Amino acid sequence: MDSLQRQDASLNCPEAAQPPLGAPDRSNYTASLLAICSAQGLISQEHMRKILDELFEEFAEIASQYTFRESSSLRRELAEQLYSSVLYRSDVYLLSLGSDKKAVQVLQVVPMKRILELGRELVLKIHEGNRAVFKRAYKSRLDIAVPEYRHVMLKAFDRYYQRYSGRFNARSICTDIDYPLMGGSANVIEYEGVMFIREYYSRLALENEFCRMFDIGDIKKLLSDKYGGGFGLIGVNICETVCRRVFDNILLGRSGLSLSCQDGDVETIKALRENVSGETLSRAVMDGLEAVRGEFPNEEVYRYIAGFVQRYIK
Amino acid sequence: MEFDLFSQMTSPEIQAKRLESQILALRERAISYGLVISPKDASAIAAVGVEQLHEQERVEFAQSAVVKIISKFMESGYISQQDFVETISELIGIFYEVKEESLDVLTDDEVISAMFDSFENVSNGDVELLRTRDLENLIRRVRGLPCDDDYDYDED
Repeated sequence: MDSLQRQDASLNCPEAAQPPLGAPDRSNYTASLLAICSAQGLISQEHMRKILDELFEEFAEIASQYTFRESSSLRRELAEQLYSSVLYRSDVYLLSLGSDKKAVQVLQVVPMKRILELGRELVLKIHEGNRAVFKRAYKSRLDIAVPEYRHVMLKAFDRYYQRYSGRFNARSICTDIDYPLMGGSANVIEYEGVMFIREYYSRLALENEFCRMFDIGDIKKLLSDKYGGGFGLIGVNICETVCRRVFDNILLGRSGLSLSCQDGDVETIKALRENVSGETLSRAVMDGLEAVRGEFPNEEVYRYIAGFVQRYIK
Repeated sequence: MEFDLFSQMTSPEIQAKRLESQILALRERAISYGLVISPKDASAIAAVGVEQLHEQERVEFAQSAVVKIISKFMESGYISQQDFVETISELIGIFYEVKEESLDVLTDDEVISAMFDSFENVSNGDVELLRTRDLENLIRRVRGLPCDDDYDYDED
């Protein structure tokens, strides 16, 4: 009863009625939110049962479609995949609301059946939209022989686009992506399925656009000097390598965005890092970037690159 | 925070409850074949169905195959009230075994139909023969392996 009262109160004044939510797991958003709601009494047991029943009904329908309505059971592993695919639709819709509180409010008042309908539409919309996202990254691709990079630019997206199933395996990207993003592996993206692809190629487009500000020969030379070729390039992010050199040059007082490298640079940078505070170095790099802000192809690229400064300093 | 929705919805208790009510819904039809399905019978059969699902690591999502099995086999002249629960329970085990062994190539109806055909016309109501000889052959055929019938044929 207490939880029901809390639910009713939250409808009138959600911000006031709900205690702060714990951090839900974005890769398993609906389940995670429901766990929090259950623990905090934000959704009544009766309503929770209704949500679970509607999820199971949708799973049963998808499983029936999968078996052409000719089987009443499936291997557990496959059944779990189909259920997860259903749940993913809810994840995508709830994540699109932009805040955990809004997502909870929707779970409290909108039937799960409707959430799943909206989620299905959104998944398809994002899937279609991913073509444009990829095109942007492709258009600014770099002709550089880093195998993982070439794979994500030339093959991985097509494979995803042809194989992706929003109905039976919505959480999977149905392709392999090993090329890391600036600052870490692709796994740092906390989304799955179509949302992962959108996020990954959006970031890759920004990285490509930044790198296109430089001469391709200079980038190749930079990679070659730093990592050699072949196996040395495995796990290397091109943009990060470029960024680090550019930031080094800013700290060395070289004007503009430059990939130049002179004897003694490494030692000078090392000494700077040892003797100057991180905060000062960070400010110096940010000031250097700000001075050339107008040279960036767009504001998005500028923000993306500026967002790496803290990590560079660390 | 772990919150396994799928495990909650497919817990043995929930599946057994769901199955029990589906079995009890067959009571009227069973009476027309001279069989009575008591709540205790329904509960016992449901428990076997759920156990088999668990054993074969399967999840049921539509009208249970158990219901289809009861519905079909109540037509058999070899099933009596006395051994109803026991025979149905054994048939359920055979069904899921075939389903699994045939790698899901066969539909529920195909498996049940093949079982019923053998039960009525070949095994003459002998569940043991059905399991060890007839359905073994069926599985082998589906998987493209030679079966006893083929050997007999070659020897002839």
